[in-house]
Amino acid sequence: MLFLVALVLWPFAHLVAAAAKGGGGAWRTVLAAGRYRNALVNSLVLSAAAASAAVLLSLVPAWVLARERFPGRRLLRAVMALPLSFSGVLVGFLMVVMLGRIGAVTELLRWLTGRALLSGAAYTATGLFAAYLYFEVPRAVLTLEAAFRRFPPELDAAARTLGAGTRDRLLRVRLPLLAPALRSSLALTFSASMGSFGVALILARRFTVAPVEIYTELTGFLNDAVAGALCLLLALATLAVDRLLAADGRGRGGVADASARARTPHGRRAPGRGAAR
Amino acid sequence: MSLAAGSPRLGRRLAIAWTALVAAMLAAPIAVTVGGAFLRFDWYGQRSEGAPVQGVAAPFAYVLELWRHNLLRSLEIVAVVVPLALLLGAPAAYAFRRRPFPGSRWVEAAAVAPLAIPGIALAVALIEVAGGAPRFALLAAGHLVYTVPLVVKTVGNALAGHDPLLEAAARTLGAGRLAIVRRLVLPLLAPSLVLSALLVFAVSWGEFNVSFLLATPRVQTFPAALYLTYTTNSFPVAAAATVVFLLPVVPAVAAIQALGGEQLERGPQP
Amino acid sequence: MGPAAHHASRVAIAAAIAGAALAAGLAAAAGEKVVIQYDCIPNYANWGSVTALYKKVSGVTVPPDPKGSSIAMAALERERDHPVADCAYYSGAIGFQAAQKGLHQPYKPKGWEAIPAELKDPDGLWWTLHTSAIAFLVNVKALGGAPVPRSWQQLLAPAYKGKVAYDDPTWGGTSYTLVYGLNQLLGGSDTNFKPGLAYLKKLDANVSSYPRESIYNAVLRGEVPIWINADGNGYKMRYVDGGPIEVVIPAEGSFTMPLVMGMAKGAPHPEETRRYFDWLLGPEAQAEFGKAFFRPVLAGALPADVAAKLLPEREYARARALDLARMAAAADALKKAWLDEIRGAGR
Repeated sequence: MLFLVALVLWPFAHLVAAAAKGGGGAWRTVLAAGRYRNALVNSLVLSAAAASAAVLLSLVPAWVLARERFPGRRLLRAVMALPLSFSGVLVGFLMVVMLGRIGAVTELLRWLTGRALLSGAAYTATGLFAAYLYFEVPRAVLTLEAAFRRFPPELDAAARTLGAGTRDRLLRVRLPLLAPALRSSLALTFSASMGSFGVALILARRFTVAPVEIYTELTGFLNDAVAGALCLLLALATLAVDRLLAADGRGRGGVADASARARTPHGRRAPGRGAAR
Repeated sequence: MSLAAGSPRLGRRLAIAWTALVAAMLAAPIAVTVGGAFLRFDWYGQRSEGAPVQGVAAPFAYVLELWRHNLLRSLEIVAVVVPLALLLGAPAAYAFRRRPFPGSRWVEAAAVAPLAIPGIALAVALIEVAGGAPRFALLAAGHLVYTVPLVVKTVGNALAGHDPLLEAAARTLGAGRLAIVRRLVLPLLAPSLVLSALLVFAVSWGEFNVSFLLATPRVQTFPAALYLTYTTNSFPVAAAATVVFLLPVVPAVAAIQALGGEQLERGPQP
Repeated sequence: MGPAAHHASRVAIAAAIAGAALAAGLAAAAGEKVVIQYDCIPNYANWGSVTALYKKVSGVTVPPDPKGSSIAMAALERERDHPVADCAYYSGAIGFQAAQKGLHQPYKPKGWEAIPAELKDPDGLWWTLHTSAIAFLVNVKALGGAPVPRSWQQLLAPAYKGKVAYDDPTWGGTSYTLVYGLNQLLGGSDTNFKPGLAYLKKLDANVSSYPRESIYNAVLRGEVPIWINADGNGYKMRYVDGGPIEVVIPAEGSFTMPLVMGMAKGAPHPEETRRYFDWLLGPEAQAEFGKAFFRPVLAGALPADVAAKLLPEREYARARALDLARMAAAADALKKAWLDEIRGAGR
């Protein structure tokens, strides 16, 4: 137990120490305008956009997988879950395969339209965004699916019998119950792309995001102070968003809660693991 | 119960179609890559490896020969990390759940926090503090930081679902602590332990961030080899390397799904 | 608990296999002799076949390493207290800088006297293996109808949008040479980077990426139509790999670049490394580098058929040598300036 705590605190402590080396100058450098700030801003904006898009895209699939029965459902679920085990570099590579200068999609479009549409898109911000979506959608789908599975239909039916219209039902019954799950999945996907390094290494070729700057400072310039400051800011930004999304008094809705979906909202274990998935 | 307000059947069909579309878009790049490992797509033009790669099996043989050490290293890491993660995480989860102490909830929450640390930061911290240690040990430590929390959560959730009264009952009936653990707790936890092992395997196998920065030419993992292959080798070889990477992990993910593993929504840091 | 037991046994089997592999791997590794070289890119200057040849000749493995010159130097610096590498290969200026930082130990390989004085450190801290020149490596089939660019000025034309690439100069020494040299060519100095950076900023509109690894294969297959890199790579693409590549020395001028080796201070395998260095300066290795169209430092080692395929000498008259000491002195400042101006600019 103590080992775990040490394992957690020690890297943070080291980061703080590294950033403090050179007495605060690192912080000023990082926060002043310039490529570090651009990198942090790019990371924040892209991650936030990708997280929102991923969760939006995943709502329907998560619902379908949770509540509908149809042939091929298990296959679809397996396909959705597969990218979860991928290394970031693999996702970056897949984007190049599809959207590089002569990627599969690019060539298909060229064959269809005779024009070089989307050629080299992989190396733009759009390409990085697509890569983020690629590994975020599975995470969002699985998190939301678990929550949707526990959504009690009786409440919704009761509301209907009591005369509530569709919009009312949506806003006042479903959304509040699902809000924690939505927030968890947002937090999870946001933190996944903020910390994503392998993807950025392969795709972020013309612009910069925070993990790449950290890597450059560490390996190209041995500038531990600046790298440490960047790391801390990155980690703090991620944690801040996570806690913001979790702020509902009971601490539900953050990333930590996303992984605790095996517990029902009422605190009891869902019956029958392995039954009817 | 379906989402659609209008004709339920049409709404349901549309929803399923949308889901299938999303799944297809996730699967397409993989399909193209795996296909490229076995077929020869002419539009990928010339290539140069420094070794002949004609024929279906040749890229695979080349990959295995070139990245043999990386593959071995990854296997070694996994063989070490999986048992260690279980040994560290399971008792910790048991202690958090069954013997809570003041502040244990905080410690438990803190145990998940490592997952927010960028892998590259962790790698540098490890080098700075313990640079003289064998690289393999540092690699294992890095992997453990990201996998032990998974074990803690999975086993913890399983424990939450089992009534502690069972163990209390066994104790009143006179069973010693060791016997309780061996004959009651472990069998109850077996599914979650297996699930944890699979999760740790999947995360450790695909871990790149920490491993890449801790790599030396002699001690590198397979994902680091993937990076090199993607950036320097031709497409058929890169595709073959991808297939080799996916081979152990696809069954693991399938097994995790079958065991009802919602924990995998985290995966390795991409 | 049927499925769980089934899966548990599956895990156990996998663990057993892993254990066997571990044992085999350890056994194999224990018996293997190695020299660790930072910056040993298989496709660059034929390192792939050179190291394979060395293994055949001596049984010593030199594993591939993708680090660019600057990254190799930084790695050596970070590992000062616990050296991992035996030696490193760099573009001249970076090797010079590394030696200045005290990262090398002196060793003069057999045949030292044959190396011209300006291509080696008097104390033996670094020495040139072969030289090359910066050129446009153009995949003519991938140009999509645009003419082959013949000058730096022409490269700025909108016809080449998205078609140009050069390595990140904070990663690789070849590109650092390019950036420094361009600045000098366009009237800048060791303290004034404006002319060079202004040009590169304009060129940025045409650049598709700043890779941090060798994009040899990407150029060969047309993913990148114009790569500004060492001419040797271009010739090899054309004559050895049969790609539709043309090598162009820009009209306004270009730069030659020595590529150097240095032995790391505290190298874990010093004896093996010295033997390796001796072999690298020998006729066998030099000829192998020659086959990659990099000009060997050993006079007369360039095979005749290779020499015939190079561009005529008058093209190379435009390629000037750069002062290594000054390049090394300006390195950190220029790299940072490039990052700020070009790569880190908001998007």
